[in-house]
Amino acid sequence: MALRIGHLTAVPAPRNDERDRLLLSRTAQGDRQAFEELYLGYHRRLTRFLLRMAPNYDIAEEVINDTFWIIWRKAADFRGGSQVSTWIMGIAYRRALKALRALKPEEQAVQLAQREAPPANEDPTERDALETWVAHALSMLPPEQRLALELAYYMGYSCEEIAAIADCPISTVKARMFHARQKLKQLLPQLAGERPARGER
Amino acid sequence: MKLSHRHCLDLIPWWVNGRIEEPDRLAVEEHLRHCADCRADADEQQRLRHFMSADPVVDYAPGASLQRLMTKINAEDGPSASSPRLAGKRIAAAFKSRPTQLTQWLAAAVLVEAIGLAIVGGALWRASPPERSAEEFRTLSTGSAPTGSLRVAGSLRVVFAPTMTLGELNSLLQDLHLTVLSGPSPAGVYTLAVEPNGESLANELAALRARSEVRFAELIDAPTETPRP
Repeated sequence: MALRIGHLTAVPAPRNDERDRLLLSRTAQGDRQAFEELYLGYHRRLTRFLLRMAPNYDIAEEVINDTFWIIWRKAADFRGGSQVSTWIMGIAYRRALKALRALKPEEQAVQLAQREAPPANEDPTERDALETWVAHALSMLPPEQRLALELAYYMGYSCEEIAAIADCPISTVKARMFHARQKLKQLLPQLAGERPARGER
Repeated sequence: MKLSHRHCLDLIPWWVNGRIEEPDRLAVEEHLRHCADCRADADEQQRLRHFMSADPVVDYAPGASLQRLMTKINAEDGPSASSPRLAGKRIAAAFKSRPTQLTQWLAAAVLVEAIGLAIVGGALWRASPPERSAEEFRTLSTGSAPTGSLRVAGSLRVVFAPTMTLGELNSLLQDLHLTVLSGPSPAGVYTLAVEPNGESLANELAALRARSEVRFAELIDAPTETPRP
């Protein structure tokens, strides 16, 4: 399924951590209703997040179910040092990274084809066209840089939270963001108000 | 606090998304007043974030995905009771922020329920009243059978492929002489009973499992007292 960029919406609403802790605690005791509630509470947010990087719904669903399979098995390991949502996003992050890296070159080529750049003669100042240009440019970033950018700008996480999710130092998050922005400046000159040369990709 | 140019560049993404500590926010804004390069970068990042807030257009199917996962968990750990009624409320809550999608989902659910009711209605019409009244089925929504209840005729819990059309579903049910007792639940689970002219439960289960459109089938109530006529 090709990814399409649709309506502008708000960043996903924050979860109620107290409720999540209760559900996770009950999940650790084998309570399937609590587990199902947790799953349904996160499915939408994870699907939206994952589909921005893996335009194949099957891959997104596989990552979500792998994530929750681990949560079902490891719920008792949650020590409460972070918000539950950060812990869950950390598991999803690692599963997503693994899935994206596991794609064969031809599958990656299919993804890029699905994320075709807009025609060169399209006016990039128009909103829809610029959205498509942004989606295309983002797909050109290395997975770690892309994930850092998505976690900050789409999910609205702080630098410290992204470091916890990605299990890396804060300085690494800042470096990934810096390099991602540098590359996007080259790919998206129109973000600075410039128009790309005709035929330039 | 006075920021270096590079330090300010590093903080700009979180100044843009609003997830920055107050002292850092003040320092960034102080730097931006004097640094045209950082102001230009902050403007770009605000535009980028704005365009990145566009959502993928996708149909969400949490019920079907969850069912697949629970089937895997049940296969590993053994089945356990679940409340489809509660799951229904949770799915409705999950769709709360998108009234249009909820409406579409409900419309589809109503359509499927209506067809299910029509099938059950047809079966009731064909069955003689005394025979029907002597049976009591336990379904996913009724919980465990009460003590002292009449005999349980047996039912099957089945999940069909999400690509299956209603026409194909009806055709399969007619072929195997099955009747929908309830469903689909929010997780896509149907509870089926064998019609009087059908095969034994074990044979029906085997026949269901042999069909490529059937993703999952299990016996949830075996006949306990009176054998099928």
